[in-house]
Amino acid sequence: MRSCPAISFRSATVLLALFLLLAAAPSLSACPVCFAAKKDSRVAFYVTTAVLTAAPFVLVAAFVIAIRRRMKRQSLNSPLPQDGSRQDLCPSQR
Amino acid sequence: MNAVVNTLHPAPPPRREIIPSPVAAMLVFVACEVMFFLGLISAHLIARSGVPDWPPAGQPRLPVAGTAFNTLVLLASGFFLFLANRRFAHTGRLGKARNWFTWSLATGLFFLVAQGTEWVRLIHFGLTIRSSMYGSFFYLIVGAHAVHALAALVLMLTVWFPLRRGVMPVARFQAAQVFWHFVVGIWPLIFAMVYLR
Repeated sequence: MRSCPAISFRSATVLLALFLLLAAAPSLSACPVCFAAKKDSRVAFYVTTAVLTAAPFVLVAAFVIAIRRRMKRQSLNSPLPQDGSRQDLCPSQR
Repeated sequence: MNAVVNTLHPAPPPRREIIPSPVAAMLVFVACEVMFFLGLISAHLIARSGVPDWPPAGQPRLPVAGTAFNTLVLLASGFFLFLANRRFAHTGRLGKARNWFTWSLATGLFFLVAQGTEWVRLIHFGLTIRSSMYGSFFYLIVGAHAVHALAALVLMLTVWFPLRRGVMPVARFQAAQVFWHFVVGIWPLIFAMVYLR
């Protein structure tokens, strides 16, 4: 019984052709600020990318820190009720 | 009579509200708006960095002194709102808190009207949204801020009317406070990026 090759001849040919195509093509230099390839544009692009990348993390971190501080302050001011009453409801709803 | 104990659906554990829901929703909204304004400012920075002359020749210059005064008025408005909250949180008395809140509302309104007047003058001088990229970015960024300021003032008015009747809608007041402080806090950045640079 003949064993099945790991990769067929056709697949190997396609892969080789793709590799040759990629190797033969000149490298492309594309950037979002090519309309004005100046140092100022590049710096502005880098800075704004960094700011926009960091901003969501900063916002979420600030939100989490604010909640933790409020939780800590609340637990110091008023311990959790032992009778199981709900603090998120007003007295008439409990 | 024996009390019936529901063992299938036990009572939920005690919960405590950390942040009122309207305030939490407003914080999420404000976070989205921060990203929106940062996106606009980023686009503005990249666009202007590729242009040799900014502002372009033939376009009117922005009134820096008048807007700087307006910026101070807006910052004062944020401070008055802070004082209103402080008065209410510390003393629980509405009288002083209402006075500071009214001052905050009035100065916020002054800022919006002054910005509108400035716009009318700039349009007469030939700076329109179609006149150049300069005008487009100016009206887009400053206009977006003006829309937010208007929305925040409407929200503050919905707090002010109950306050006049002696009722403090606490959660709405806190939500309005978050929104107004965002409007006040983002403006110096916009002023520095659009007017000063």
